[in-house]
Amino acid sequence: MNLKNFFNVVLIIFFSFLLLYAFNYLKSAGVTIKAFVPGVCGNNLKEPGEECDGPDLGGQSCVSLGYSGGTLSCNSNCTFNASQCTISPPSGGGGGGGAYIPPYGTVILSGRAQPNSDVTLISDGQIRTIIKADTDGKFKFTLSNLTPGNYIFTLYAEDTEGRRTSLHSVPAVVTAGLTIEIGNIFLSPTIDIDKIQVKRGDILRIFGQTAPDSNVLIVVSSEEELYFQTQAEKDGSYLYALDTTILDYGQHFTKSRSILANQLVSSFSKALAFQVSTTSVVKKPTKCPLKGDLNNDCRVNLIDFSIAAYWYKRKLSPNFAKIEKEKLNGDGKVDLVDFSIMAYWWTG
Amino acid sequence: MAKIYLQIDKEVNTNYFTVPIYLDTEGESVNAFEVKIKTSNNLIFRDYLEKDSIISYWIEKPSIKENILSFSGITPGGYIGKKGLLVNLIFEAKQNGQAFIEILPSSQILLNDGLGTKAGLKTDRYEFLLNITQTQKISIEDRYPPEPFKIYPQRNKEIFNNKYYIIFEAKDKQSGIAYYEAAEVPICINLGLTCENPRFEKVSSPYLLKDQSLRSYIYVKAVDRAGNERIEILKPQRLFLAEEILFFFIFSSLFILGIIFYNKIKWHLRIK
Repeated sequence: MNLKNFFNVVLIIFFSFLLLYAFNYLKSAGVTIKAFVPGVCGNNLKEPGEECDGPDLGGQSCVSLGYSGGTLSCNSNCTFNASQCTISPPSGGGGGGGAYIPPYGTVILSGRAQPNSDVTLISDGQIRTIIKADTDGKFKFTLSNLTPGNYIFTLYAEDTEGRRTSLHSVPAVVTAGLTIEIGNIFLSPTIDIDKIQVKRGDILRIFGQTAPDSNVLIVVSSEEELYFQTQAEKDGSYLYALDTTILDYGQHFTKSRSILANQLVSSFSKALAFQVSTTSVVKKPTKCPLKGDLNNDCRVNLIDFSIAAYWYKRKLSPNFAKIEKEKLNGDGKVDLVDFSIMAYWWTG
Repeated sequence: MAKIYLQIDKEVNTNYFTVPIYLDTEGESVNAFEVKIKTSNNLIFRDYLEKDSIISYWIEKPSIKENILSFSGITPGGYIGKKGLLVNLIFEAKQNGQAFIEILPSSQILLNDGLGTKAGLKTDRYEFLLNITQTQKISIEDRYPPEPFKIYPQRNKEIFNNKYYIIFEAKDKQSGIAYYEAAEVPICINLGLTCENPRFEKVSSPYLLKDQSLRSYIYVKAVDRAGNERIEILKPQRLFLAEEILFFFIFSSLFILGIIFYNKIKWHLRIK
């Protein structure tokens, strides 16, 4: 082997090493790479081609398979063992012979959001599904196989610029075998401002997106509330140029809501704070929640809740005290107020 | 002004009875709840049912500390309504006679305003007669398994000394989650051999992982109060350890260098 070949071999080994290292790094960085495990029966993991594998029933149960109850298990050949499932005919008698319908319920949720926005549906605090609104901002979710009971469905939309609406909650009682429809949900506008500090007398631009052709009501909360109105464009965007001459020095808040065809009224957007001062400071755009995101992943969800719950009624470490000051209410402790702030900024 | 209230008959005739605690938000959107309750000495708090509760995440589940029964939780996105069920409390009547359940004014309801502003709150004291004529236990009927849930692997400098842990939270619409079990099963390449079966043990979230190399399947089983189960599985997060990659690199290098060295010697010998 000559010197050239020797270097080629060393290079191949080096790059193999680099590839392996990168692969492992990506895994630890949370990038999803599926582990290769042969799809064979007996490894306690349901894989394609298997109905089940050991305790892994793939989320199925007797009820989901159409039985009325009992315990579903897995055969050694990775097929369902429904021998312990029970069948009871639907009450009401008569007829007979038809298949037993699992006693689950269905909910259909529909309404308006920003055109082409991603609409997220949360139930029990966790994201259930995300769909895209159409060019008119219309969206429709159909949720089937819901266990009967009380639900609070929470929706929000992320507009084409990555801004989020406020959360909109809809309580619903799901009944076995029935479909309920909840329509006319109108999500709040998204909102942003171009400055976090504005020189008194300068223009503050308040903008965002909502359903096309909506009337947008903009509220500026100072000592007294001031109301302004503007019209959303065909693409759903709106802009209001606020002359700050009318505002006193100090902190103010602004939020907006939409009215569509004088019928549908949305909830208020999130409130944004700005300062009227002697100089202006441009606001840096951010797509992350301003509060509640304790692990800096741009989401507020069970992970952040779990971190906050860990520190609940405990003395904060110096590191977490900094996070608490920036991401929660900054009073040096984790209490109900901090959880309320997280619930407000929740993204699922 | 929000109101926390409960429903109970003027006379209770069973030894075990359920008391639903409701919230009327009076048109306000609220998202955080902390309820404190005092009861007469002839009542023993036995259990609670989460079914139909508006609380999505419990900060503290109902429990008694210093003679005060309390619980707290949140509803992301907020709740507006007149009869939002917070929880069903199960009591056992210890002795006949006058009894009371008082919702204490120190309870808190916070507005869904991003600031955690306290809502004005109305509370009340409920007096009733215990006259036990029937003995019965509260039975739970539930044919549905818990809802599907996610397992999140985590690592945080401030928690468990930066070791890997998982968090999870299952919901059960009928009877509520009774407990969780978890099992860690090392990666198993099945070549006709039987892989290790998961050995479950009772755990709670957050759960510190035994296998810090993250090369195990993690099974989490949620069991509801009627015994229905749902198992979710987190696949191994890693295939190789850094030391193994290093070992592989050194071994491969040595092997190839060995071949080169062998060939060189052979080539020298051939020339000679």
